[in-house]
Amino acid sequence: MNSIPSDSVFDRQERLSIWDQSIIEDSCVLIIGLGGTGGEVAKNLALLGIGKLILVDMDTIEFSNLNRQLLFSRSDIGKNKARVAKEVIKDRFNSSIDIDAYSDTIQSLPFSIFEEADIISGCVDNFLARQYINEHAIELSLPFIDSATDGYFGQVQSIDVKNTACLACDSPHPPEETRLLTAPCTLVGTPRIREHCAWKALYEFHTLNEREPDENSSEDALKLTKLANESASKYNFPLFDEKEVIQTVLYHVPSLITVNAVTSGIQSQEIIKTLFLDKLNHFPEKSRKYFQTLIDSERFRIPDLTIYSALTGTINSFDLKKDPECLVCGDSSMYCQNPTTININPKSKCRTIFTVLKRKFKKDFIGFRGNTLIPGDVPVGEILKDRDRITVSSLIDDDEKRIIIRFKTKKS
Amino acid sequence: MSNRKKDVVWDSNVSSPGTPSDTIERMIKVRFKDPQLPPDQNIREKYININGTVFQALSAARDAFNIPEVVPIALLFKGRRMNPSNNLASYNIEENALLMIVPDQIKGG
Repeated sequence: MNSIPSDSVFDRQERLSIWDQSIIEDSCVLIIGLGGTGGEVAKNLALLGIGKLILVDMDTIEFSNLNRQLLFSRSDIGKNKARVAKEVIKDRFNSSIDIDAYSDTIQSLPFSIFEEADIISGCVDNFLARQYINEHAIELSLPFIDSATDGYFGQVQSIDVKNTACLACDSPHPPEETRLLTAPCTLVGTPRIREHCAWKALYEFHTLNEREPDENSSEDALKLTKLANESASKYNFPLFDEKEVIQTVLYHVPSLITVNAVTSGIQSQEIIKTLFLDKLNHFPEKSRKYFQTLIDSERFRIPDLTIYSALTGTINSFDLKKDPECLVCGDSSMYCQNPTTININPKSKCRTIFTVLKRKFKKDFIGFRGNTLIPGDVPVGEILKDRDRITVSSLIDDDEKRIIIRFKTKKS
Repeated sequence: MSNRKKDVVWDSNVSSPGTPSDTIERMIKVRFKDPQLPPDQNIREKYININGTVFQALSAARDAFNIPEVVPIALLFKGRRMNPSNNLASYNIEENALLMIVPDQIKGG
């Protein structure tokens, strides 16, 4: 037993032979998604003494979150997850931690938020958000640890830009609901399968009511069912009952706090290990040598994919190889090329800037943040932030380019 | 399981794998591994048509371990996730190749 009293709350972890508390305290982690897994990761990292957290979640707290999202309570229902998480973490777990909280969609976040982070922790609940984060991680060569859970299963994938597969490698198939949502013609055109009628109904519900349907409201369920059955009867599909429609369009992945806790524990640990590996040179020489010996003998490694099954109590890890033809991390990907920097006056109108860009790069399309439509008469500074990145592309060729937008200051 | 699938997939325990009904079929023995099972039970052999699709190999994997259709699975081969609509031949799979079964479509947050 060590009899020397310590005044550090991190005393027990600092006794580890491979540990450098200063690396953790100097690090910034961007956590996207503050649900069952993200909230636990934020709590874990705060208790480990991380220097800064950037928390992002556009969702509000719902009653059904309270069985597993330990940062939230009944009085928080209706409030934004990221903002409540910030308050609770500072109040309950670590008052000295620096936290920024954003209640926006990830597509609307300025690029600088990604640049500030040392590592990204992806804890989102859908395919499209994962792919969006993946592209930013590859572009900035940022380590990215992604997690996902579904009922009794949890997984953690570690993406090391140069050495491992990214989330887009080998063209993963998007889940069915994503395929439906990304095909606007399905929503306005002819339904090919019965489920399309339910998705059309949801789209029409949004248009008519300008809000999400409440799955606990019998009135909303009736409205959705009526809309779905209008399409179903028109296109000769069997009719829906209310339960079926709700299950189809408002499906929620089953979640268990136990699986969230194991998955987030693995994810948090991989985050810390990745930070240590990236800053190996910060360790004192003696520790560094020991550390290197463990790495060389494969006794310290970061698995590419770890899968936890609560049904069998097994945790398995797998190596994942890069797809050389991957559109995001492959050699010819635009995200792996050096972007061009353009200096512009933020007060210039979007239309002017984009005309100049199109002429300069001989491309027809400009995309950024999920290809939002851009109003021409608005100053570019109201749409983009300094250091944001945009894409220019053309239908004629596949040669897309990434461009960094720098705002001209008075001095420059 | 459809009759068509039975034509191209069968247990390796069968002494004679039979004659494929389609001349372009080329059967090879592969090993499926389901790491969720205990180590002495987690590898099973199957014959698959190398000129078939990954989707057919997924069916064979389900057969080998009795994995129901409702459980989404994927196959890894040499660290690459196999796309169900691709042809197996595009992965250069050889006799006795080890195909790893992993859960697929885990997506919640």
